[in-house]
Amino acid sequence: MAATTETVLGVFAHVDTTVKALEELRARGYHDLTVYTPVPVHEIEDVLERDRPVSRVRLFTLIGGLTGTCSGFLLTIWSAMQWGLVTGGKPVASIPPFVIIAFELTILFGGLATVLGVVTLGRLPRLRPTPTYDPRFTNDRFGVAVHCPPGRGGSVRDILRTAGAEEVRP
Amino acid sequence: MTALWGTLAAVGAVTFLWSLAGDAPHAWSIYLVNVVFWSGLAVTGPAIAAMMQLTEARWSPSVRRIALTTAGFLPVSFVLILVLYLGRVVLYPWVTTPIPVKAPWLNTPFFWLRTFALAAALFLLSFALIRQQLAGGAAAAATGKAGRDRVSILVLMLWLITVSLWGFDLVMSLDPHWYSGLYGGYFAVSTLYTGCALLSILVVRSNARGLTSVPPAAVQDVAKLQFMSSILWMYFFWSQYLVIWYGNVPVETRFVVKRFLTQPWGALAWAVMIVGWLVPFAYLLKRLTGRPPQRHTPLVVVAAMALLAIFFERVLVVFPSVARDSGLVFSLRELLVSLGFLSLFVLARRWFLARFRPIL
Repeated sequence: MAATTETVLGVFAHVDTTVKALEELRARGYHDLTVYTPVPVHEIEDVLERDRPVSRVRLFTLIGGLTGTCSGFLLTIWSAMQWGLVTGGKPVASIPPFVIIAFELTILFGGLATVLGVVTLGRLPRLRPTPTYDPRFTNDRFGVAVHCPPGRGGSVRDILRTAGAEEVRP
Repeated sequence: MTALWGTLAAVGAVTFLWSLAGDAPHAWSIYLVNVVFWSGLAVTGPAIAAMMQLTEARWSPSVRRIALTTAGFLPVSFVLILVLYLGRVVLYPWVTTPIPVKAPWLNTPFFWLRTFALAAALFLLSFALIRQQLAGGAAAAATGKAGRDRVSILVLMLWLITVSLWGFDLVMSLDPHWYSGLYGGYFAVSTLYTGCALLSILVVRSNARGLTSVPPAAVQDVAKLQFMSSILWMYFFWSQYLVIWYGNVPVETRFVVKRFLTQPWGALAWAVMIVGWLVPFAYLLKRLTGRPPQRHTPLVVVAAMALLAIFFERVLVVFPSVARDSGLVFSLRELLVSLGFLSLFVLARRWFLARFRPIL
């Protein structure tokens, strides 16, 4: 059975040539891209994220944070009621000091939920690198892997070379 | 436009002098509120620039230079602090009836000497920082990073000492029997909040006028600073409130009860909380969890709300201590004096831009 997609990899030495290649690829309708970069680069993010929906990690953070707030108040109010803890002549369920526990648990649960979100949505851990990965991408080179329909590889290779790729394979 | 601001400043000054004759406590109260508010804004700009220097923040040199421009008000501020000396008898009860146990700290010569000396030192150092930060080419190379770091450290240390002492001395000693060990820190943090809010407004405005082209990502970073300082403000408030609430010592609770549980101060306190913290916090939380937006009008609105709220927070702290009757919180008189200060601030910042011609 013939492969349903073809993958072409371009290796770049500079941010500007990488961004140029990405812009050109997107203008020609190639949207299935995998980009490797040794450092976080805003320009690359901007190109790739332009019309992608915002990450759902923030939903994890929100739900985690709200769960934390509720658990903080529940824990403190419930335990104070259960044991009738009277402190300084204040009401048993006195909100001001409990705000601190609620605040702390908001941050704790929010933080843990965020990590959980990153791991789940990023499908981590990934034990084996993707086929197009090259060790140079963690050192000083940028990689653009284009997944395109079979037979379009030639045009993709042209785009990558014109943009300034120092190596294109296959 | 300059003529309009000049007229407003003159109207403010005349209103202040006129109300001095009628109701001195109110006149000096609003004067003090304005002095600490606008001077706080003026010194915090250079302090934010110093923070950016020390943290090696390279995300936007434009933002750093815009922050410096608030310093134009510093010379004016110094004169206004000098004038405050004339209001000492009306404002500070310990001048006429000293409190023996606190007399070593709260006595006229030492109080004003430290206020003037610290302000002068901070203002001079801020201008040294500005000259360094705005210098280009050979002059910048000669100073070097170490030299700029050294001045930034000094400015920041002096900023914290001076601004927290404004809190302890100029504001807290209005009611010399009440004390809170955290008030100085609280005052510095709330001043930082106003500084960050003003920075947001100035950045968006100079972009709109074509003076700078700060990218949306960097505007978002300024919004983050504003968000951080808003949380820090509420955090410090809560740390102080909780201790007073739990301790339940009359000398401490008296201050809070008067401001939160009696009208019109209670209503004002809630308004400050909602306008200055809840709404900006909610908006910034929403804004900061997505991609940097291209439009910044809501950011300017919440920044203006923060400034307004902290201004009224100062009113809330100062007025009930000085003006003992709880009449109208804010009349036309107070409004005109405050507008006068606003115009002075705007004019002073224009002077700065014309004098130093910074490339923003």
